[in-house]
Amino acid sequence: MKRYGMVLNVKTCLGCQACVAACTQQHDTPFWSGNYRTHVENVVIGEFPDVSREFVPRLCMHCEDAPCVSVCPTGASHYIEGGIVVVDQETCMGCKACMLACPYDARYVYDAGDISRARIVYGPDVQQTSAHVDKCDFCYERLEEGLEPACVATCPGEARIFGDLNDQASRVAQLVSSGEAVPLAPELGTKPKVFYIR
Amino acid sequence: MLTRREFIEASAVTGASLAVLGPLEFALAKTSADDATQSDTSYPNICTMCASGCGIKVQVDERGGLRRAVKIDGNGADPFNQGRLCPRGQSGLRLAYSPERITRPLIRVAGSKRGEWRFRAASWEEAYAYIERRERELDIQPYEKAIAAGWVICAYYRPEVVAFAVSSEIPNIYGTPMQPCVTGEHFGIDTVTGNFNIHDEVQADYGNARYFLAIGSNASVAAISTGRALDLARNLEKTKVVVLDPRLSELAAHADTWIPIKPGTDLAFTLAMLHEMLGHGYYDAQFVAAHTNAPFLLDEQGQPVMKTDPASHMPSAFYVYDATRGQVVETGGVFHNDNTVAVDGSTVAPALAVPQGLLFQGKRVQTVLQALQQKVATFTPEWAAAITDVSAATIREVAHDFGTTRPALVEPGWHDGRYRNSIMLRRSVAMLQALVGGIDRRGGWIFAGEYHEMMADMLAYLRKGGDLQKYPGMLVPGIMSPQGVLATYFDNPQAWNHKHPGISYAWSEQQFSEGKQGVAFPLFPNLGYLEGSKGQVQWQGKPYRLRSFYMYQANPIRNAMSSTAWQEFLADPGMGLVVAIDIMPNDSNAYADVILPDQVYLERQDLLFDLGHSHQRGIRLREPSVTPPKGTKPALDILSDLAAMRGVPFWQTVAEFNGWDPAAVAETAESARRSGGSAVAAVAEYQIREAARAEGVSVAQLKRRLRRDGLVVFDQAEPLLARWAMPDHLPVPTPSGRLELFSLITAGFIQEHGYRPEWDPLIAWIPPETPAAGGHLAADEFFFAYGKAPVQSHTATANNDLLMALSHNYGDQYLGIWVNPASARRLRIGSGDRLELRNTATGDTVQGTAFLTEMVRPDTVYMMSNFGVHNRLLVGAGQGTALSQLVTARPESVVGAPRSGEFTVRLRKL
Repeated sequence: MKRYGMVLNVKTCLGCQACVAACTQQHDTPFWSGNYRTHVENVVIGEFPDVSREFVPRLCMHCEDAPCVSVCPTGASHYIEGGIVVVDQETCMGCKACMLACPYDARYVYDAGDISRARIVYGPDVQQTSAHVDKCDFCYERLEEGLEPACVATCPGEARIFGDLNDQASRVAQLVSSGEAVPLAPELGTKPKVFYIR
Repeated sequence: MLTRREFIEASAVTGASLAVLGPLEFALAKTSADDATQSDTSYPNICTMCASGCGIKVQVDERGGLRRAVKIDGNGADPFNQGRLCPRGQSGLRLAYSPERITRPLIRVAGSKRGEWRFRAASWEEAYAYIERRERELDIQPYEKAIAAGWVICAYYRPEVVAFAVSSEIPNIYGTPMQPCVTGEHFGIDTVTGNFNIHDEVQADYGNARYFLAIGSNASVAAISTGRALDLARNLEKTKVVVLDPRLSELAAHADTWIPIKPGTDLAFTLAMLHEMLGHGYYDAQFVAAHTNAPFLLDEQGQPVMKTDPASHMPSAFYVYDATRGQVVETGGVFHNDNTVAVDGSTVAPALAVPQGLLFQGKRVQTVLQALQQKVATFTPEWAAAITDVSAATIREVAHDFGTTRPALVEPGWHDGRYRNSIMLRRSVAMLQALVGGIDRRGGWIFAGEYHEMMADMLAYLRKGGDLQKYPGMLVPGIMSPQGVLATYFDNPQAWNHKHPGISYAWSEQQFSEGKQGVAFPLFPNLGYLEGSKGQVQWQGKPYRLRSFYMYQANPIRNAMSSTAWQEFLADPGMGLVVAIDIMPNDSNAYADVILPDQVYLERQDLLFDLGHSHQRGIRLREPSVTPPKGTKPALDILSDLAAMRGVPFWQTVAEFNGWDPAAVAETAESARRSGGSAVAAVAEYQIREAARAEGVSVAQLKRRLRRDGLVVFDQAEPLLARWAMPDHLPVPTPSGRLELFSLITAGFIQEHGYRPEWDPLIAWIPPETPAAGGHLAADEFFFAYGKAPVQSHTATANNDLLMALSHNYGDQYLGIWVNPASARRLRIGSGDRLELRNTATGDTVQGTAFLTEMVRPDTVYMMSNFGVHNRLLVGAGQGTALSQLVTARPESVVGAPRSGEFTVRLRKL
């Protein structure tokens, strides 16, 4: 059984937002509202001239014990094959319990206004058709076609590495098992499948 | 034959990259590649959101015979970006489908003022007739016209625009990227490598360097040229990265050492590096002796001892001291690359230093390297430390590490705030790279694939006894090509029936004759344009001014500094006609009388291009990936129409410039145009036939592959370098053929205009005209720096809803004015406060929002350069600060580049 995961290499992320542009247009997300499935944080620490700067890409952690899935009253938030957490936009009633439950702030509301705007911005075949809480789905539709997630495929810094954590020969599995890649805030106990090389 | 060779090379490359992937990634990569070749809803194209020219695949939704772009990805077949794509490139389709897109010819409403944006739609016939009538009624002469060509034109359509101007008797081209963009730095590199380094002729080999020194120029890598960024990212673990920048840029964030140098003093740092490297022998002596002009002899006046061919005026021999024989020997003149072979064929050991007191031809002589050592003798690390605010120990360490690590790479540079010393800075940078032997070798500066072929072709022509004067000007590689174009046409009144040179040449000559500062190498600048409209430029005793102005995807108000003066120039009642060829409204085309709608690159038919930045040699084809709006035309067809209207032999001239068959090309283009088709498409067909013939492949096969992949690679990088590396196997395109530590080009400027440190043929220190090199800043006074963010694409960002949204993700870091918190406290400035910035050199003022950050020096304010547009139709209107409003140009004297960083600002909280 596959267990998909992602490793983010902070050492080579250039903060360019190519991933954000790819994700936005892959999933027709509402950039006009400032909402994205993935974004890049710019972390600056210290005082001039002893100051450091890092770019930290953020997205849904696809936790194995995902609080968003357990609190969802309608089952809209659920797991699919490969351990990917998705939201069914038709079933979601927009109660936002998942947003409160998510410790990684990985979700946002795709509201009715966004839905009508999306038709203008992306054209009549827009993929987002009803208001819902939205988040990263590891581009599972691309995976079915044998493609990598859009953010991974385009990253000019090769800072995003994707694969099957259950396949010990995969690069993601090796980076995680060697301890080179670690989860953010593992103490929360949700068992993220997204890891970081710092 | 071709296919087989490429197949083998391609599989070797693929094999190498797959070795680092695990089985799952292998499966993904495999299916991804298969998918790309089988897909029928994705078409190749060439990105034009910046000058990198990455290969793209445009996913389309095809119905009812119309194709609409839904997503843009990197093209996996392109050797430069290798399937990856930056946010700008991915946002290209937002440009095509903007509601503000210009899709019909527009004529300014009678009675309205320029700048108000009051236009009515018109037919093409009506728009063309309006232009013709207006110029006839006002009796506008060809020399009173100018063409402002934007960066897209500079990167892709140089031969065509020069051919249009020359055939139309228009002696004025303002190539906006020439003077304000690249020439104001790169000319310094050109004086060493001979490479007319615009955008695509050097791609530094970031992927193989072991030491990488970047001096500013964040635009090259981190902000973000996809192929360059990818190469660097893959190599970050293995290379030591040192970044000089007054702010902690995206690139500096990844550096092993960030050196926040004082703005405007980079040249002092590199001079001290040269001092250390030459003094301690931190250089590749064998390479320097063989392939640079370091061993050439100079006389006591500092002039090179050489022979000149009386007919061509080109050098026919230089002299070096042969250490083996202990005597001076002749080495080859123009276009020779190897000093170890004498003119008589004997082997030479060219000495980098001659015995003291050596006399030759009755003169005391020394080598170029000895003269250079004397020049840098006083530029000690301690001297530089006092100017740069970088410790002498750090300078010593960088000089040592750069000079002794192989391969070492210094960033060639893209764009930073310009100073009077920027060209000399880049000259010193090219010297550093030459000293470590890193030219056209792995881990160093590698010339684009096409460039080698140009040199090889020209040498073959000359060896067969060909006359350089008759060689097609655009096919001459390197700096001698524009030199020839200027001397033949734009600086030469006799070249034109109206006997007027370009207005910039007239202005510059007038300046020199009045004892004022002129410009030595006015390569398509706007010098004299604004002065002419005030009656300040004369030619042959009569006022010379421009009365008709064509802007071809150019936006001088925002991209050329001096925005207020440009507004006055365009609004001036003496300006009879302003025509814009463009896609979107901008701040400059608001001043047009007529706007002719061009096509977005995704929709456009183009001529055949080379592989741009890539180290490989090959061709690229751009055909429409999506359906253009009715009523738009590719701009080259617009030029073709304008030329035909005036009976001008445009395509014939294009063909002559490119070395094609003029009669065949003119006939092909004209018959296509007359039958209502695209002249460009017809000429592209001609080019494909010629390319197929040259490479020995069938036309059908070549077309099929171009349409599938967008490009065909004829030579991979390794075999190409093994055959044609410059200077290892071919001369570099300097006058001497060697890397010139003594520049024969700038030595020529001294002959024409006398000595100035800006064109010292060796090297010189040019202090910035700010308190940086001594002096004090007032309490509210700061040095000024600007740069580029990854989402910025000249002014295309402000026309693009997605890129503006991505800009807002970083908030005032992108849109505001960077001030260090310690300085802000002193001035009681808080985050988000509105500020006024006043340029202390020019008095220009501009407003902005304070962004307090530790990422900038306390004595410096910083901003991103491409926001602050004014046209209300644009999504980015009024957001951020317009650089061009803060900077009045003040041209420097080598190429006339605006000194866009050489001033201080005073901050006032509003």
